[in-house]
Amino acid sequence: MQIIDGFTALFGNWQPVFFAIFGTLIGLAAGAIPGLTGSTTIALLLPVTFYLDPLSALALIYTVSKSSDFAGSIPGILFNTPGTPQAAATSQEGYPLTLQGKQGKAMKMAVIASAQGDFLSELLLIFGAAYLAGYAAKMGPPEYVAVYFCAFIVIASVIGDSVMKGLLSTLFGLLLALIGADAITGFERFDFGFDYLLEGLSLVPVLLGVLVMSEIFSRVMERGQLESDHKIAPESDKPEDRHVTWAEYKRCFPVMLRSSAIGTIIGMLPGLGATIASFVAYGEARRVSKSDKWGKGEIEGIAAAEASNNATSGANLIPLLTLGIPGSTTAAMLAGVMVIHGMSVGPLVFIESYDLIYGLFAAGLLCIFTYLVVGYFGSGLVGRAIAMIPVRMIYPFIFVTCFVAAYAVRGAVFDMVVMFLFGLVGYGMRRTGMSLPAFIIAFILGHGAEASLRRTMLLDDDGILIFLERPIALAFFAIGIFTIVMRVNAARKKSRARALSGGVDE
Amino acid sequence: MENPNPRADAIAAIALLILVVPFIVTLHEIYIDPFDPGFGARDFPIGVIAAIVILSCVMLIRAVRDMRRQAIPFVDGPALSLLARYVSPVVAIGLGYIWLFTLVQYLVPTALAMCLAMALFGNRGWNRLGLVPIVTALAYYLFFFVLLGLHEFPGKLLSYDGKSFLSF
Repeated sequence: MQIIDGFTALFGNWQPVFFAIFGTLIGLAAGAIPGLTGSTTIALLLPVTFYLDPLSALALIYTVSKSSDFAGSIPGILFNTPGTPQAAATSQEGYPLTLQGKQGKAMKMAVIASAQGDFLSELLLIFGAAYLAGYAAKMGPPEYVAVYFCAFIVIASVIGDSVMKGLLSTLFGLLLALIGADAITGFERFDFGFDYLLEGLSLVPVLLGVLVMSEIFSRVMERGQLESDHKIAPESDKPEDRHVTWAEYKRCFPVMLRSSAIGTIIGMLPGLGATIASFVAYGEARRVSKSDKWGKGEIEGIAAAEASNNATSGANLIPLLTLGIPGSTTAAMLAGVMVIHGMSVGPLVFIESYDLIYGLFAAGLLCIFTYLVVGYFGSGLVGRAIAMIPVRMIYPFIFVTCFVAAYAVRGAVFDMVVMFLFGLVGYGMRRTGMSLPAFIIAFILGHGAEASLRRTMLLDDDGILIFLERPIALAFFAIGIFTIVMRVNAARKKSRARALSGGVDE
Repeated sequence: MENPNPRADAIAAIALLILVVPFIVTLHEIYIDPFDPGFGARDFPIGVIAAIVILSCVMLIRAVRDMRRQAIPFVDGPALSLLARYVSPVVAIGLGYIWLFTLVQYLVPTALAMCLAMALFGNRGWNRLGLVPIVTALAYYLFFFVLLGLHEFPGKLLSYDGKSFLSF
């Protein structure tokens, strides 16, 4: 089995194993600290990956994202302050349990559900991705053009409230991706006289700017509310309140299975993400449940939300590895790391970098086991540690880290300037409701999208009519057009309903 | 259909139209192979720029119309003053940090920027404003410039080789 080769690749050298476990622990810490998400941490770690071998680099990034998905539930349960957006649903039931002194039970349920959802999704990734990639590898440039079109349209129209802003964010990302040497001819384009732009805008400074520095700008406006006053409620003395009983686990098992399926399906679809998955699963579990404890500490709620949000983790990689389309910001950064280390992004990665990909899957399984053990026995300790961290000190650290991380890419002050400018751009995008994920994904994919389109035009003298001869390409175009039409219709119905009810959302 | 935040839409549209101008101005500089008049290096950028301009204009027109309908002023005084009060110090610290970095290398500007950032986020006391910035700057220098071997360009005013002091 290929996964055994993956474990051989992972354990063949101490570095990948070390960075897989190190990444898991970093992700646990990052996800547990409110204000420091997995994406932010990954962006800050990107320059470090330049100095690592490819498998260690990928394992580090992947395990940070996985473990931070679970760790966000810890402050959510203990302090009603989710460490990550996807943990907000968990807080609805976790915090009431804390107030009853049952925080131990809540956190143990969270880690069990997270590990189970993550594991099932990882299995699908391991056994399903290569199978789907086999079909995707037969696609040519016209099919890839259609896939890119579909991805841009779906991501632009699904993420955020405004289709128009989603499209503009995507187009803006595409435009910036065109800076630098032309992919086909190699002649310079849009370098504005700067030698550093001949190779295009460097990915790491742009990501650091729009994701991390823009967050600093946002947080400085809230500084009056940053005082850390996290106190943990006293824990119950009863042993059954400190862990999950067998009867509770049996009751939650079907909930976790169903929620894992929901999270896996949503995770495979570009643009939807763990937050949506956790709320959909939570809502579904609440709908079918006969319990009257919802909102007051129903453990099935924790099981549903956590199983679902962690199930998106492995599933997120399926569109990346089969079609080369990152469906989330984290997958986009993983794609960036793959490109930096000379790997192809898409189905050919299973042929060209077989050991690395299965090594990555093995790292994912190791991460799940690690955070299950650490989370089960140590989440209380993590919670107490978080309560001691003054939140006001975190952002200045992140601020100075951004500058050195940007400089570390190629030792250029220019990259520090780019990072800072994109911090302002990212802040402006946040304030005006533009979509940062759509922008980032378009920026990463833009070069490839243009190259595919131009290769397609070279294939046939009929030019754009070549798409009419490619049914798979037509299918992807149709999905994209259908998605945007549905989204625009839904937005119009919502506006009409709002107008009829006489309310205007501020 | 009422737009909940037309001012933000208008600002976004205007910002995009401004950002696109340098690209439009330099479009003609993109080399086109005279023997390959097909889909060249200029066509995709033209398409993207055109789409941005069209959609931005549509968004701007709708936003202005909605702002007039809802009697929303274009300039939000209180928001601007909050921005000036909180965001402009971050901009000043950031740009100052980069400028000082080119003059005196990494250590001093980092400690200074950290101190100012700590103060900006409401931290007080000698430990947080003095000791923590100095230790942070040294720790980052050890990690990035000594351990990872990142190259540090000589400063224009002050130039030193920190590795020779710190390497063992």
